[in-house]
Amino acid sequence: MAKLESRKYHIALLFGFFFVIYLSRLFYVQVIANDFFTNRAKTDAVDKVVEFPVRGNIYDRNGIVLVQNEIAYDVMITLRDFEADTLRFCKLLGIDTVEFNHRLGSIKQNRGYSSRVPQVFESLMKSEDFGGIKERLFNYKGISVKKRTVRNYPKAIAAHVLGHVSKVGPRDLKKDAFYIPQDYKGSSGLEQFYEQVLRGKKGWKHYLKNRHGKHISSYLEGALDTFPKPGNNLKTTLDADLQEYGERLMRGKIGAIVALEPSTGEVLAMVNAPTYDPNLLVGGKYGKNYQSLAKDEKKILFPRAIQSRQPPGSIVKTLQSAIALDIGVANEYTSYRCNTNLVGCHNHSSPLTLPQAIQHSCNPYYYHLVNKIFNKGRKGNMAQMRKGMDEWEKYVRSFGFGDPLGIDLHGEKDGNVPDKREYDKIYGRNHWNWSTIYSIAIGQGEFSVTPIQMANLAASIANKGYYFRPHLVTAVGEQKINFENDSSYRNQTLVDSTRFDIVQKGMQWVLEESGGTALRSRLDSITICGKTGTSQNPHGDDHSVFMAFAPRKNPEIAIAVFVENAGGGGGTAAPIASLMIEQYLKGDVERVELEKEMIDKVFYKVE
Amino acid sequence: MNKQRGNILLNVDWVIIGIYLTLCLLGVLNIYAADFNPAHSDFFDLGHRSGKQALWIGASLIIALGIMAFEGKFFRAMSPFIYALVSLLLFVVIFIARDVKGAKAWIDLGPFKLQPAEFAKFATALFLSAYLGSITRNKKSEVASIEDIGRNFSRFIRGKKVFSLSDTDVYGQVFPLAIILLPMFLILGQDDTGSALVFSSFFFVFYREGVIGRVFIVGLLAIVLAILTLMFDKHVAFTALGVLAVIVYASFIKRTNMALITIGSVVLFLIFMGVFDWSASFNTYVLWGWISINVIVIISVPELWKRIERGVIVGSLVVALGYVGFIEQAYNVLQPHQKERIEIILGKKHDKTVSFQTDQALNAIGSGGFLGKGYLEGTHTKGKWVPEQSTDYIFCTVGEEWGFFGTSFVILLFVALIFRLLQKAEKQRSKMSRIYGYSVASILFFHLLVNIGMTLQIMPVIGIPLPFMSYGGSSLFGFTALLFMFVKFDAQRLDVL
Repeated sequence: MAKLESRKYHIALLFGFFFVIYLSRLFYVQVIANDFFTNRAKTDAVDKVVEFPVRGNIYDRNGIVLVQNEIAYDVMITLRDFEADTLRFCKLLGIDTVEFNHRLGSIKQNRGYSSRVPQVFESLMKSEDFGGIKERLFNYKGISVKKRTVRNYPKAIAAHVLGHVSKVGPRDLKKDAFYIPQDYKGSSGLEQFYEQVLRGKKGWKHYLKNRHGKHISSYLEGALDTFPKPGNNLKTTLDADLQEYGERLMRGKIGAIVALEPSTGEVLAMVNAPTYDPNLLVGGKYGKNYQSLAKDEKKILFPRAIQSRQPPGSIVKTLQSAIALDIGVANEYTSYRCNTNLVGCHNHSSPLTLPQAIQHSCNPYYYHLVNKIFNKGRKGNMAQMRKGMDEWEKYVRSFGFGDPLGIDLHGEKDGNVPDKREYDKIYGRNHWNWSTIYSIAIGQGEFSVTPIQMANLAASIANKGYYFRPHLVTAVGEQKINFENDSSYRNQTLVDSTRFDIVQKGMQWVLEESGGTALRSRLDSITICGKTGTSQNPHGDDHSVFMAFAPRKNPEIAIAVFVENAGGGGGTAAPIASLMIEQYLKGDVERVELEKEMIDKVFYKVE
Repeated sequence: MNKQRGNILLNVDWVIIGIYLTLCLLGVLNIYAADFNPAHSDFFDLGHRSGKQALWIGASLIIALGIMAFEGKFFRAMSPFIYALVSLLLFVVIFIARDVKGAKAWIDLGPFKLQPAEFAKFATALFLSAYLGSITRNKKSEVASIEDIGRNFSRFIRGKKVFSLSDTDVYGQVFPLAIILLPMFLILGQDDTGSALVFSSFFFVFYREGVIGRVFIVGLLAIVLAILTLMFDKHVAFTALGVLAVIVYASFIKRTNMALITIGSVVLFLIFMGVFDWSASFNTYVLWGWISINVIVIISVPELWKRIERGVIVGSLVVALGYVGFIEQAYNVLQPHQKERIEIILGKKHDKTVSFQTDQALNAIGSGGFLGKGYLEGTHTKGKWVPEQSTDYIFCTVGEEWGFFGTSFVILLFVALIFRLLQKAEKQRSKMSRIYGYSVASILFFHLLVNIGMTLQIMPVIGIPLPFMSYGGSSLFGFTALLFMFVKFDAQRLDVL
């Protein structure tokens, strides 16, 4: 029996051995790996609930609200509690049962889905829609409502400039840790460009939740909770009245208007036609409306003012004149005969001086003048031509052509300033000469610009040789944007300021002297300098172009109007620009007949 | 000595009773936390589990007093009938019980649900110790016959000695095994695997009493090794073998040889590592370390070879090594679905709900840290993240709200209780009392091992309660009866039962 006696130690040893293992394991789990399990426990048991910040408002230059927020309602469904006659419920929300089942299906795919936690069934219902069904909706079990805010555009103007917000996608979530799947972000226009300042900061509330996802209490008595910080308001340079007026004038037309303040580069109006009611791209109907807008063959969503690249047409004659004067290949009285064998022209007296050439928009004149800029009188010398072209290109680029101007909108296009390399590429080196490329002189051919670049040319001439980078926002929240320290803000062109008087004289004559191409658009009380243009369009009717600034002394507005398929600049674009100038400078338009004529001029069927 | 006999109060072991009361109190406190509802926070509200548990603790104390009031001899005499009654209940339950969580283990008694399995432990322990306690080795060479069985049984009932021929005859081994296996199978019939497995803890008792011979040990070792190999990997099994080997050697080797063995092992270990693989994993180091020690011991302790018995042990360890390798190979040959089946049985793989449960259990315990989150402050506990938290997973509440401080305190209380039971058992004059003491200690140990191991993810998920602490009347009554029976025997240890 002595042998058995010793077995008591074996048992005690075995028991002790396990106790030591268990205590070690506990020590490991609770003390050494504590951080790991604390984290894991937190992700499970602590629910972070977002409080969405209010997005910043957007105002025009006079403080008129362009974009604000309004309350919308997310209709939430708690599937475990949901009891309803599906058919009647669908009817209430205006959907069919197929859609109903589809939504339930996708709800169940949600991350962290729980049948006991409310899930979004119908998102961002507008208050006017919601008000009507509120009472009946609350009769359903398992239906609740969450308040959110959506964008609201009280004036419904400047849709392209203001832009819209849309639900964030997987790429946004990956790129920017700020976003969560329920977020909306600016996806075009100012909403997109100023997303960082408009969106504000989210607030977070921490709740303890139970296994079924229900909140039990606040976590750590709210010690970790933060309040949402509203987004900053934007003060824009837009003049709501002018913008609205421009949109009225552009009714039924395809094109763009850009109006700048020459002394600052502020964008007074930026009309993209056709436009749309920005309120369409808000809330629950976003997807449907966006689809129909995107599908429209008139390319409604296309922001033509900054993205449409077209030959500038004759408006560049002002630029050519300034360059010629600066290089010294011409003076005010340099005259050329209007030889229509070289290039087509219209009836006018001949020969013309430089301002008269602008006034009459004489094509042969510029055939000669730009030829002279290029070869400095050494005809047939290709080397000089290439050199001259380089010099010309530098001048043209100094006016902001060939590159985006840098407006505070995404997607601004560059346009194209043709150069020798481009012609070498098209025709082969030494296989081209002036007669191949002369259309450059009158702003056709490979030369392309955007409407905002046209307006910027007007501003540069108005300023006599410099321009300010066009921009839309002057203040973020209470903070004014300081442009003084920004080296890209003021841009000096290569043309000396003394050359512009002659150009401006010609531009004034365009509206005021007989034979001027925009005589109809003159304004008795204000001296407008302008230049018509016809942008040749190989696919259909030519585009009507006009750029202008006014008054000639101390210019307050520089404007470019571009109307697709409307023919010569004097017919459509110039009157529109003139009316815009009158509206801006006088606050009212007296020429009601011209106004009516312009508004009634439509190029596609308008409802 | 006899003058103290009548005074039960002076003879009871207050250490055991103190620990018992402490555990019950901790249990009800933690049940209150696990079932906490801030809207209805009345501790003693009988609508709450804490209130009910408090009621059952009170009832348990009455049961305890009841047990103390009778003589030990009475229970010895009653043990066959208690055993029979409980067995009958276990049998009946299979047919009348409704299915609750996959098991048919509860008899519905209105507001109270009775789980006979919880009393089966007590009944079996009592009957087994009464039976084993009455066996005496009959030196005369008699042949066991059916007649003997009948005669022995009637002797046993009359409180007389039962004779057996040797350790391995029908009375010595088959009867005791049958006493355990009957309730075990009946409980298995209720689909309550966890409670059935508890009966395997009686093997500790058998081992102590010499009821089981070497064959049992070898079989047990083979099962343990196979489980270790399949559940973890062969290296863990090797490590366990190594520990076992060191324990075995330690009992043979003279202290003077220890230094030599240690140095030799290290040198040989380094040589092995040089020859085989320097960049091996930790497990491989353990393996080679173990082989080194074995080789050195065999070489340096020649007396091992003089005694066949010890040679056999060394040899069997080598066989065990091969056996582990064989198990692993055989397992790899199996089809994927067969492997999966085995993994689920071993608790290595769970269906989703089970792994959610165990993960949350570990999250709760692990996030408790050293001092815990504070009473009623456990985020996982309050969120009811761990299913069954007031019953089988009560230890999670301790872990989360009281931290390592709390869990180690609870474990140390159990350690103190179990070792106190072992110590007291060894002091018993009566064989029956000793066996009974071992039974109680072993059952408690098994429960502790499985229940806490389950929450710590080192044991498969087998739903058995934590003694004295888990919510549940049957369990508390059963354990109280189990424990206080021993307290009673111990108080009467001077009597020969």
